[in-house]
Amino acid sequence: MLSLGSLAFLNPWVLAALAALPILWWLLRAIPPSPRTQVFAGVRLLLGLDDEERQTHTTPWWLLLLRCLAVAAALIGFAQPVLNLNARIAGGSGTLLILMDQGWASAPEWAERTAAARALLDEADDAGRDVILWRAAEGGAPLVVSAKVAQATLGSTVPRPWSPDPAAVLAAVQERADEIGDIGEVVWLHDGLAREGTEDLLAYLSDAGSLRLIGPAAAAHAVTPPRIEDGGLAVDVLRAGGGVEAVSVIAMAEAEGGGERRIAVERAEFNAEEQRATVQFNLPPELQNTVTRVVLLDRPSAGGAAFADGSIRRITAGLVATEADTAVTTLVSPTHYIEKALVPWADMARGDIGSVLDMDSSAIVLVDHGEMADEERDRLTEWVENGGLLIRFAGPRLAASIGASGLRSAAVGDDPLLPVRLRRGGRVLGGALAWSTPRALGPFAQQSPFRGLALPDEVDVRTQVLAEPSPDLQGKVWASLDDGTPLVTAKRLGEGRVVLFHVSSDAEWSSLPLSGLFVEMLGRLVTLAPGHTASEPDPAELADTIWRADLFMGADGQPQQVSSLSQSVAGEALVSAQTGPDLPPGIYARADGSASGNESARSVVINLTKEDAVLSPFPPPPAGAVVETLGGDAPVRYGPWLLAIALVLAAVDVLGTLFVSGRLGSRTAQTAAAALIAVALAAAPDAHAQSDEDVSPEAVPATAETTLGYVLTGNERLDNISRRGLVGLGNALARRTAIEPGPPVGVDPGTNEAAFYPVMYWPLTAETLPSSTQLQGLADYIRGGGLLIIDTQNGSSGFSGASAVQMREIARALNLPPLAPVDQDHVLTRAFYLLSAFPGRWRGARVWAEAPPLREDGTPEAADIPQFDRIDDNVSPVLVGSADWAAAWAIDDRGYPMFPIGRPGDRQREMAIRFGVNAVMYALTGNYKSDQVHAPAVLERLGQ
Amino acid sequence: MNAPQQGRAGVLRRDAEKISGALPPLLVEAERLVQTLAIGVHGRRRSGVGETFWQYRSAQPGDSLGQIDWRRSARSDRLFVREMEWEAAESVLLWCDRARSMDFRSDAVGWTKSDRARLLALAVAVLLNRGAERFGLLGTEAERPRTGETQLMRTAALLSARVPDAGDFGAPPHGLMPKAGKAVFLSDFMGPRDAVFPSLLNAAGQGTGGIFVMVLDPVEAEFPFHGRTRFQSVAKSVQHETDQAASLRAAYLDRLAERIEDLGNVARRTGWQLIQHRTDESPRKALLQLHAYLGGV
Repeated sequence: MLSLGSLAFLNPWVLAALAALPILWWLLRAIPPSPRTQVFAGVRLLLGLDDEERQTHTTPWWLLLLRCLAVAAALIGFAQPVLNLNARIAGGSGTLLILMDQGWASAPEWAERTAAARALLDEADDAGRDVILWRAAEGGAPLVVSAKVAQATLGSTVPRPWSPDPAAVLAAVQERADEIGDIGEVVWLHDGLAREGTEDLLAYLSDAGSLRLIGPAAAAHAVTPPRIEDGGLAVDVLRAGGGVEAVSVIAMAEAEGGGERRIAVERAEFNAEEQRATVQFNLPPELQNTVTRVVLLDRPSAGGAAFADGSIRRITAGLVATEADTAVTTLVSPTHYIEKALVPWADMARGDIGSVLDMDSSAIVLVDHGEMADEERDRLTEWVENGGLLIRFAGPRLAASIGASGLRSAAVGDDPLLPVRLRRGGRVLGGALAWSTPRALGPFAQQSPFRGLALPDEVDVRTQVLAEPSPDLQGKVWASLDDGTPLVTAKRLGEGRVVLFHVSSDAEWSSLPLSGLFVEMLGRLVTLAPGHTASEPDPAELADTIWRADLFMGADGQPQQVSSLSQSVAGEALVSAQTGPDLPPGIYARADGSASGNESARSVVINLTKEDAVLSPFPPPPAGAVVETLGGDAPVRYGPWLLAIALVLAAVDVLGTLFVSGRLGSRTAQTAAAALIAVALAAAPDAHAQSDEDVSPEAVPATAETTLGYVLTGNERLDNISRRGLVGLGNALARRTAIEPGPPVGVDPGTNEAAFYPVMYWPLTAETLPSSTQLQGLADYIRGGGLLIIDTQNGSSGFSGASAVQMREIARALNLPPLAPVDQDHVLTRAFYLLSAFPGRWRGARVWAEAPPLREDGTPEAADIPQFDRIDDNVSPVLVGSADWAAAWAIDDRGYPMFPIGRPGDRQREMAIRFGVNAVMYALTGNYKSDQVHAPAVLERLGQ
Repeated sequence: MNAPQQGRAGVLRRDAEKISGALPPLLVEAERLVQTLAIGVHGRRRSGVGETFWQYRSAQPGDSLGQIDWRRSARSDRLFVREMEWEAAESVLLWCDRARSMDFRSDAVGWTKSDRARLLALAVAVLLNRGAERFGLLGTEAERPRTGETQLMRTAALLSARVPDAGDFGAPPHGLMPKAGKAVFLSDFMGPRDAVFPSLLNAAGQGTGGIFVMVLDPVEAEFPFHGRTRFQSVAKSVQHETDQAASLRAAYLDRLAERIEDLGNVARRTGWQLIQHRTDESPRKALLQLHAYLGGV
């Protein structure tokens, strides 16, 4: 085997023949293409003629090159070059150590990894070498086993959703160095990421034996747990590589059916240097609350996925209402609307200020709270400064307290828990004694978190507290009335915010709490609240508790249901949150049943990637180590392709040789071209088949010559008579006229296309009434310009077939025009023969055709003016009769009439045949003979 | 059937074909070809030896007694001699070039020049035979002009027979020709100039009238070759190689035209006619021309 980088030749000795290529070149150059020998009697006349253009007697260079290329391609093809013939051990003796990282970052290319490991094991098996298959993420001790055992182990190996620990591996290897003995060769299927101890392990292994590093083209990306940033959901994507790239992150949410559904995809843009890029999801708050997991779109893994914890979930809002009077009717309770409006956004906890502060709420709503104790005020202020969101609603109490605080503010400055200074008294709009009318809302400012919310018309404000004008007032206004009076004001206080609604939280002062806008506004506010909940479990609370996993994160980044046998985890372990075999990432729930006092700590999310995690790339390999890239490692065999190219080149060479010797264009070349075309056609058989499918099988014979059709009734005897009748008529036509019809064709108008037949004969008897689809087909046929001969075959003189009623229905279904008996002036009487009657097997029956158009006075109009706009050339679409013409026309196999006809002699049969000839002529030539009808009139006019 | 039997059957069949020969097909074809033409024993418009009445004339001294037509003489006082019209048959010598160069045909045409020339020659013979003219095949044992079925059959047999050791190019036999009224030479006249033209002049110069029928294959008339080609004569005695056959086309056509013109000159000088015939044309056309020239005698 010969290797050139990643290209290897299985039969390298064939390449030696390439040395003969120059000889081939020389030989081909020396031998010109042989001339064509042409026997030619006039050669004497050519003697002594010289060529005007001298041509080289050697083969042209391009033909030489072509041939040499063909030979070279064939030779190289037979040498069997294989790209990426990797994962092969170097040989030699000693134990083969295969170290698989097997952690979360191995998950994206797990199939390739196992394939590479399997190839190694296969080869080790062939060589009979012992193997250590060390799965780094599993931990444990290295065991020297036979390759067969290792193969079985490999089959049951899956990637683990945590990181391998190189330091532990190093320790174990060093510890058991004696048992392991001589390590001949080390292959490390690493995941492209460096961890603590990776470099030491690398150094040790490179000393231990010849080292081969097989890593991915790019290490897996990781995703930090989702967090709230600027009111939106944000995650960081981490990577260990470089280069400009974009990574898509999916946000998954609980689906209603219980599974997961994808609700958003956002891209993280890395520039060339960045190792961390932030993805911001712009989700409506109600959707954002449902996010359960974020995961990378491409190459997901346990590190590239994170469960959302409580920090992005519903916050806990403490509701402080001074009045807890249950006697008050619900709808006028000041907290009713707030509670209803907060339900979509937050969990509610009621109590006084002290208790809601104890509950570690992230938002506190103060409803019409007036004066508060200094201690409460200080705690609340401290809480806000630590990031809490305080939402206050005005009301009579607050309005009443303005004075006190106003006095205070004069002394000690502004109340820190009010965003603006309030004026005493407030204002009342639209009262019984007021001139002014209630005010509507004005548009939201751009810096307001309420921007973009739809303003309902019905909201009006009747009473409000007013802000004291101040220079910085405008920056604090989040919502105002249409006259600019602030309605919602806010200010930052420390890391938190204080928001004040200048109206009361019931419908007393305004109709705002009644509107849907109120819910939306509170929703927007809640997103500003910090997620304090359970982001970091409190060690004190976790002590002496037992937890059990609820949901695991699989190594592939998909949630994994937990088997009931999963082991319990002590609460202390959760505190460290160090993922590993003992603590796989996932969602853990209390297993000891004793509900913690803190509701928010009911479940703890352990994510593999921490907020502050950093991915570092695999260290540069030590000298002497062979580095290979995983992926695309399926060996690519070029041999067949090269041989195919050689064949193609040889074919081109044939054409080129023909061209050079002037034989292109001769019959040989035509044959070659035909063969090429045939190959091309064979390569595209579908296209050919397609064109054939469009033509129905009966169309070709039916259109090749004039063909008479008859309607298949389903009655075998009738159909046979029809067919034989038309055969007899066809014979008469061929003998007597220029029409030479082909064999008649039976047509089922419901299924077959009838448009190919100029005339169709239809025996319509009581027992063979057509179906509606058949009628539809016949109607189409008539509309397309065909002539339908309807024969009721009962010899009745009237227009009554099966029965008058059915006939009428059929006529309606066929969309027949009004009919009239054929009179002596009709074209049918002279289309070929001059006829006065149209007998068939029966005599005396009338024949009906389309009635001539009526004049305005109701008399029939002579059809002497051809109506050019008609496609049927004034040919009646139907001829209706009852004379049983088919029986009169029918002949048997020997050409004798099949049925006797009443009168002695064949006069009547002759007349019937003449009628048939006339009918076919009528159908084919139209009103061509109609001028004869008017010949007397024309002659008379000429005579004048 | 075992092998010896098969062999014997093959020999038998071969012999049978030899006996029945290619003769009838050629003759039948020639007969069919001449069906459109009718020619009879034609009078010379003068008195002489013949079977049809020409005129009565007064007996003159020197007329033998047996010449007197007593029936006519009895109706008057003078003696009359009954004279018949002179009916002499024309004798036509045919020469059909049997050299190998005539065995050439291009792919587009179904028959060789030789086929066509022999067909025309035999057709002329059939025509002449019908007219009770005498004809002979020059250069063969049937050279002496005769008429009758026997001569026709011999001619047909000679034309159908294979010529064993024909040369590559042919020329009319050099030397004294039998006395004859006319001669018809069918050839491609592609032979070496020195061989062909003296023979022609020799033949044409002997006082007899005649017709040259130049039979050419369409390929020879058009020279549609190109590319590197080695041209060979049919018997491979002459060959010429070229790199670009198409470039020779103009020169070849010039030479061909020159050859035709020379033939025409020879014909004009000696009062002969030149008919050019291509094998892709209908033989009837050439035959009509032949008939016209021969019948105009």
